[in-house]
Amino acid sequence: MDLTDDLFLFFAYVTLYFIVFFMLIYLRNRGEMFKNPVSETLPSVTIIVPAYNEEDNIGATVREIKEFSYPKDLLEIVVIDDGSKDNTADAAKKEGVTVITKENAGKAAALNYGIGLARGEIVGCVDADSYPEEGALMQMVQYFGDEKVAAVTSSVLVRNPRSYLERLQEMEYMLIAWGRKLLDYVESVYVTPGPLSLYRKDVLKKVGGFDESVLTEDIEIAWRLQGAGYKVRMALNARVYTNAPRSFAKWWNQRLRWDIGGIQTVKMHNYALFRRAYGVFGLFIVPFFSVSILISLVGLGLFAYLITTRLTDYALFSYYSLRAGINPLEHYSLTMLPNVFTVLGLLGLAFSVIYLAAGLRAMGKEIKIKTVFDMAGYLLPYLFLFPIILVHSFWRLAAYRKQRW
Amino acid sequence: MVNQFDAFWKAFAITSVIFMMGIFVGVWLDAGRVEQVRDEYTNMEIRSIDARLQTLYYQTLSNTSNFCGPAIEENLRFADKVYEEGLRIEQYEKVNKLASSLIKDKTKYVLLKLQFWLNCIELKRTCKATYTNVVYFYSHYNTTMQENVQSAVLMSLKNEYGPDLILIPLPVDLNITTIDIIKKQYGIRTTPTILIDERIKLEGLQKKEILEEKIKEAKNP
Repeated sequence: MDLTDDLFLFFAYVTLYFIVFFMLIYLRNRGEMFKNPVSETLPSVTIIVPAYNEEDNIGATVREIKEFSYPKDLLEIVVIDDGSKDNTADAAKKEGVTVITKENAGKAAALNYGIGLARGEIVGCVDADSYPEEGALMQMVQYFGDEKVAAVTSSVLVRNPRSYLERLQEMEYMLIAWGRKLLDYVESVYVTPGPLSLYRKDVLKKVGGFDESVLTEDIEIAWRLQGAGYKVRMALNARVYTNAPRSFAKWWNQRLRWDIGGIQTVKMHNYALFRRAYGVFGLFIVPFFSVSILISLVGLGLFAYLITTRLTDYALFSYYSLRAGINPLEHYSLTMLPNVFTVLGLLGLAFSVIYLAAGLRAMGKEIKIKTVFDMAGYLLPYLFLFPIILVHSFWRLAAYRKQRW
Repeated sequence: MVNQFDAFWKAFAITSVIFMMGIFVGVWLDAGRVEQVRDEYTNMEIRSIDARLQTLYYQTLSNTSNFCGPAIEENLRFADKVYEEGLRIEQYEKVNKLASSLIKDKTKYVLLKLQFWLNCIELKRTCKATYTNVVYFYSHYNTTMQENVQSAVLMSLKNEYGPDLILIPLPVDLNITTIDIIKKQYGIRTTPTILIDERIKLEGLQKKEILEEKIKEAKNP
């Protein structure tokens, strides 16, 4: 066994571990996942909608927020127009909500500005291209009955998926929401996504608000809150629908932003890595996130190595074969006998399919023939792109210049 | 919320069990192949001893002309078998990851091939057999792409010539004294090297057409 064999075994073990871990939590809690605690009192809530050039979406988003089944006297809606170049502010004003226009400074700055103005005990952040369900807010606020809870997040789902790329994202978003709920059972929700998350305002102010220097302020704030000893919870039945990127280029850029932000966050919070003093945050969230990055890179590295050596071998074989007067296509042979790697690879694949099917079923997706094809597309080309984007992210991070929105 | 942190170590225990099961299946697959190689070796060894006894018997007690036909036939059958088994070991060596090394089994096969080569020489001398002996020297531990291609060229020739060509691949770096003697005798310093009918030595990667010419030359000196 050489280094690549050892790396493969490590890769297989860690991947299997996380699948088993998630499945174990799911099997224990599958009947409880869509239930929320019940709080005796309802807090006042300010929903902040940061918007930049969202003229086309802001109206519909605000209308959905106004539809929240929540006492109107406890609900405030504030749109922060972050120096849009279009008519975002006018479109929002038409809906009869407070609109504040400020100089463009990025999403995190817009949110912080909104927090400064908010009157509610709880502040909610809703992206301007996202559409929460009527009951989402009521389901989420129940978690604030626990004083240690500083943030509550929701299931972010894809709105009207039509194209293949959107269907794959629909599947992915469902699995992310499901996985986040599973992590909730071990107090490890690592992100409070922008489409709909709630925060306890005084805690948010105490920890300094959103970090304006990272690309994913929604990951960073979740980490900072947990690093400070607070809890972040997930309400799986609170749904918000968001517009997923329709083109491959936009999708790639979105993922690039997520990855760069993720790496920035790991770097920022590596002080907690394996430190008992930080509890689950230091012992699981930071290592889990870091290991995910490492595993992605190891997987891609292994794959790239195997492909490169095979291609180089084939190129050399072809070159010498032609020199020796034989047809390389007739004589190049690949050994296809099963061994320990085949067995572990098949086990990993089987567990991945089970995990995928369980997650989609749990999220209410019917498994039809079309879904099976989508699952195959999701497992192979789609997931395979992730480590490539990660490498691209590292590359871009090296030459990073502050990006906004 | 119920404490669920035991999931961390329970997942570790379950994953370890699943992983070990996977490893065991892998070991079982590898061991099955090793077993197959060893079984086949025993059969080959029996046939080899039988063939040598036949030669000895006819040389000692019987008429040589009656002996040649069946002896050449048996030798050719043996040639094909040795050749097939050699390829199979090579394949298993690439695939097996967990079972004990096949190097000792391979060494035994090489010794068998050496005996077989000597038998081929003996039959050519005694019975005027018309096949051509092609001995191919390669490196086991540092196989190069040129050697891989040379193997493919020789396999292609073997497929074309059938029983008229006896192909005997011999690794030069398995620490076999007989091979060291042969290397010294024929001045083999590099791989790949091909020896045709113990007379024509070709060093480096050889084109198929050149080998065809040399085989023809060896047949009609």
